[in-house]
Amino acid sequence: MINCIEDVEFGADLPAFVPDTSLTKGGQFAKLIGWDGPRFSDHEGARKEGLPGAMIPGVMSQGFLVAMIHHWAPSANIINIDTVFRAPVMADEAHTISGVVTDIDTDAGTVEIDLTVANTKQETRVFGTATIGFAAATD
Amino acid sequence: MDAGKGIECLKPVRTGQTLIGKTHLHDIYTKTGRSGRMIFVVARLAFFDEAGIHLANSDSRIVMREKSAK
Repeated sequence: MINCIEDVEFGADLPAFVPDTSLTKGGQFAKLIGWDGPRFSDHEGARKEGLPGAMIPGVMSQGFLVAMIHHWAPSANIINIDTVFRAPVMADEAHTISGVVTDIDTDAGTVEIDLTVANTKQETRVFGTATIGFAAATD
Repeated sequence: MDAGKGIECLKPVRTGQTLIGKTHLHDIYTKTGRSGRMIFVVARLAFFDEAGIHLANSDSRIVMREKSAK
């Protein structure tokens, strides 16, 4: 577990995170944020909209990325997170999230992390970059 | 097409807090690839608390392919 910026190593892989991409959770999340609709809660309804099946909302994927970072570094602050949705994250399909430390700025107290959401075929569905901050260490 | 989303956290958002969101056209830029020019439009949703303190930004990027003049 990472408690301060001195614990972070350049190039380190974050522990793999397996998100719950079930249709039930995706539908609940979409409803919670007021984005209800078959594309997130019903495979058949999503197909009627021309999609291959129900998807996980993009902001939920961002939430998974943030959760992964906080599992690794609970005391870190998310300063920004930027994601590109290359392809839909399909509900009821298994995905894994990986992350790697790409920059450390000890003067600013910030760390950059590259993040990827991939399916079991190792196809990247979402990738992004996060900048996180650590409070200055106290003696 | 959805080209991505960026979140910038400026201040903590507290549970139960009332948020005010204001959206504006933040940026337009182009990129040229093998298939031609693509136009990116960034809409920024800025979140404020009731005192007007700026808490966060959410940028939504959409991309459009430029139509040929033919």
